[in-house]
Amino acid sequence: MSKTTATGRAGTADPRRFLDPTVVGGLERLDLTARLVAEGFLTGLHKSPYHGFSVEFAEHRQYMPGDPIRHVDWKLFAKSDRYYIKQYEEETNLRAYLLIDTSGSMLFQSEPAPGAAAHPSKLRYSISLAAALSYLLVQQQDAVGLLTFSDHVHRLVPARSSATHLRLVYREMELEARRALTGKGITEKTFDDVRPDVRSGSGAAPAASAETAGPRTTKIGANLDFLADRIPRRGLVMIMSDLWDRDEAAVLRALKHFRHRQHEVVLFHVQDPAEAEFPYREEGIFIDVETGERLNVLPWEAAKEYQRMLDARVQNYKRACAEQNITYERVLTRTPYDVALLRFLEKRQRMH
Amino acid sequence: MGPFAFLNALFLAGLAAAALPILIHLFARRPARDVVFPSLEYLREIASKRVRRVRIKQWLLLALRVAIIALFAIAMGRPVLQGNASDLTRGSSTVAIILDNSYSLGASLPMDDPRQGEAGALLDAAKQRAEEVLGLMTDEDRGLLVLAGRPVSAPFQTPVTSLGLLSQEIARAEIVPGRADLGAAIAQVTPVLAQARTMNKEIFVISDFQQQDLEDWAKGATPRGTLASRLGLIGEAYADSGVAALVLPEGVRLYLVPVRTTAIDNVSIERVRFDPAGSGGRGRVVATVVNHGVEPVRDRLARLIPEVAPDAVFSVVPGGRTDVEFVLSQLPSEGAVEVRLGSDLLEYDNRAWVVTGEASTPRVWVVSDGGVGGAGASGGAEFIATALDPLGGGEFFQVRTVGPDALSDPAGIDAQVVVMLDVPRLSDQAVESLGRFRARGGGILIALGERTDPRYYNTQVLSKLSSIELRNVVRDEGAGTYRTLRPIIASHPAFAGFGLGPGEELGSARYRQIIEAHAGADARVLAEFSGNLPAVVEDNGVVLFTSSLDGSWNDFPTSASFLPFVHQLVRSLATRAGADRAALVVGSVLEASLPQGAVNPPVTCVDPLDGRTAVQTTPIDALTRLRAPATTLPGLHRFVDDSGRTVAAFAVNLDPTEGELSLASTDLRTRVFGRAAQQIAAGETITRDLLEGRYGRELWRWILGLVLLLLVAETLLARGRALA
Repeated sequence: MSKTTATGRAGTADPRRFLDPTVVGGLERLDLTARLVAEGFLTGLHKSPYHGFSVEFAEHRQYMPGDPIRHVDWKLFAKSDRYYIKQYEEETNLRAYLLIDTSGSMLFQSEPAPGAAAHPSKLRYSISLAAALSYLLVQQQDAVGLLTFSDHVHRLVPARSSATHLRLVYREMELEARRALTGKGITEKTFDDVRPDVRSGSGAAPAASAETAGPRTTKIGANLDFLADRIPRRGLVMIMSDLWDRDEAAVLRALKHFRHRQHEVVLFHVQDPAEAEFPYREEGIFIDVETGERLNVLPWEAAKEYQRMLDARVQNYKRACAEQNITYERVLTRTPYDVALLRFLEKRQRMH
Repeated sequence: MGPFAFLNALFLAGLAAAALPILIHLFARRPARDVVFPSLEYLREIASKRVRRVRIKQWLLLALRVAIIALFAIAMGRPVLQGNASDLTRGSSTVAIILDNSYSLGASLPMDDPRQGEAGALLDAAKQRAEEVLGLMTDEDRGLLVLAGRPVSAPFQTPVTSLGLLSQEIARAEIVPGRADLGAAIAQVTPVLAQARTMNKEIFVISDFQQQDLEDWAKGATPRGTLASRLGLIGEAYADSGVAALVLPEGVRLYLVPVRTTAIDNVSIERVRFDPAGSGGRGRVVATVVNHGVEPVRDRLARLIPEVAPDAVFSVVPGGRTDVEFVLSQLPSEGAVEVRLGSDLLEYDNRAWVVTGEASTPRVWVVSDGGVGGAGASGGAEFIATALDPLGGGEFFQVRTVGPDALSDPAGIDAQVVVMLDVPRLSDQAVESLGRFRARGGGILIALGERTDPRYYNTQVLSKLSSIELRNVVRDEGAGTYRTLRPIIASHPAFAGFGLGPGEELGSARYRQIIEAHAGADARVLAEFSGNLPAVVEDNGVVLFTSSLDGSWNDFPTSASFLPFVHQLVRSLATRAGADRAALVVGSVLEASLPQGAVNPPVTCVDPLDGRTAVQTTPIDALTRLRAPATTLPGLHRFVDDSGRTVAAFAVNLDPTEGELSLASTDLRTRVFGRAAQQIAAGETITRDLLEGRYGRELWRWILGLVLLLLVAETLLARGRALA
């Protein structure tokens, strides 16, 4: 499979790529790559783990050749000596919601290690992953919806299962990415374009606003909690976020809220290699991409403690998710998203 | 040095390098670059917890780095901390031991000396003192040994750390037959000590500190321009006054360790000569004996070896001298005899040698150009010839009267002495012949007269044979002026037998004419007339009598002293070659000039211990000049040619001044060595005195250890960054 990522250009680190007309006009590319990934999975004779997921029994119908044997109601056969197939209410209507964090921190993209391929931003990575999942779901007649959020919910696309709806989802993903990029830049090279006030040294973080220029701030817990109440019926909720929210408890409560409403939750903890491994060696002025806050950091003094704190958060989420029967997946953006996706799907396949 | 000092202060310039870490911190730091990061949530929290700790750590690292460089520079400067002396705080030392092994240290210890049972001679006692000095040294110290007996020698050119080696060389040191040269010995060690990089630098002079040695030194016996004076050892301020003060390099301490504090009575042979014509033809040996002690010497025995004469008995008053005469019954077959005195505490100077050679009456040529003489009708030459051989049988001298032309005869001058009486002219050949004659040991007596032209003699004769110059003619009218003749150098062989002291009269006579003579650089006045007119002037075998000997200018021949005076003068010239050889002391170069053909080269010098060295032979005109290196042994030395024949013999004796065993006073020692020299009394141990002088501790090791610890600390403290 091609290593072409959703960005369209392997190794490109320029966040303006989203504004590139060829990319913007190439929604089909997202569709195409997502389709390729999903079909690749399917070609590998992997069955969707989400097929027939709903457990609510609706009625019986008479068995017809070609029906899956596993759906035969053997108890009824024992009673009636006839073959009947169980039909479930939502058998062909799994509702999946993709919740994508579009806060400023998701736009972060570090320089690749020498000799290594470039990796995308967390947002682009998440979008690519979500796009592939969307395709897979729609292929199997499942409905997919999209919600984006940062400090508030930005977009809500209801769950539908048509191909047209899928294109709509892709478009919204791209639009959201573009909107998230308003202000142009999330790397050191372009940061002065993004945050002229930060570059001047004021360091003051502006008030969060969905429509103001500049990276969005994060309120994961609050927004997830909000969404938990608004997603109708139960379904599959796949959250893609870097989980940079100080209020971990709020996030975990929100996740619990989803479970309380009978949703299955998959949490993709998307991380850039730099924030996961903290490879910095030289003294630097670290700038918070969301708030613009500046901090003089001696990496050799901070690395160990940072790693400990990060590992603690990861373990905390793992443990909490396990307790709530939530799937927790930690992915690094240097891992090609298709590889990450296939690993995830295979794991799911084994579990079910 | 103050309480805290540096041995290598130059290295302290390295302290400037301690500013490097500060400069690097200030100017070489790269500005922190901007790093965009997703969230400062964790970093903020970490920074708030650790910022103070990080700052302290950074300052500590800077301080450590500055301290490491500074301390290293200080350690290189070799700091020393001075304080009260004890074994715990001793610093390293460079010690020079100057051991006097001149022959005065060969004196036995007096019976009443408490060290009598432990050491036989003074040198043994001196070695014990040297071992005491070694006993104070440790493995950190370095030592140097110099033996001060002439010639000054040193087993090691640079200080050694092996105390065993030093002890071995001290034990091996032996008495040398020479005087002590403490000045040269000190001059040899001071440059080494000046360059030593130890805390302590010490010189120990272990000697008997003879008065004569120090007086010679104090009087500037070390000539200007020598190494010793160039080193500033003889203080310029004192040199002109004749008093020397030793100036030592900075930081060098001097300790004087006398090996005896009491005088030792000693009798020594000052001089010995052989008179071949004395007492009937066999010759006699006369030894001049000196009593250096304070007690009279009575009836002490003196003997000749081989015993070719009966033993003699002599007595000498304290401070006096006497001649001991041996009349030879036969000539020794070796051609030399040894005079040996009875035992005293210093045996070395109780022996002396003299070459006897062949005993025959000297042959004398009386050269005259004829003319009217003085007394007698035979003319001047006949007059002198009769005076020298009155009986005509050659009992005293074999005299031949010749004219000036005989001097030009290529056959050479077959005589030991040529007496020139009023010879008006000499050919160039004759003058050259006289020069060769003089060079091979012959003696020339020149007497003036009416026909003597002073100007001619100055330009054609005297200037070619000597440095004597004739000047004014002193003429007294009438019968002349009574003038006395008195020796200036009473000990000269020309006056032997007269028993005169300096200033005493030999005789008087009327003198009508005297030519005033000037003694040049190499000449000396042996006797003078009253009125301070030189009478007898000598220059290396040429003797000038400044008046006439034939009675033409004076009535000296009528004086009772005339005959013995002429005899002794001629005899002293006749034995000049032998006398010169008898005056050799240890350290003299042996030289002899012999007619060509008389020697079959190669020639070897055989010393008293039968050691052999090559003799340099050089043909000069009709002579062969033989020369051997400086002697190191007293006794009989012989030049032996290829046929095994002894062609020349030399009697080499000790320098008699070393036999004067008087001790230098404390005042004299202070004058010579300076007030800074510490004089250790004989009864005091060196240990106690020395520890009071050694003090302090070198700190560089401690500081380097501290630098090492700081380096480890810096590495550990900075490790976090390296591992990050």
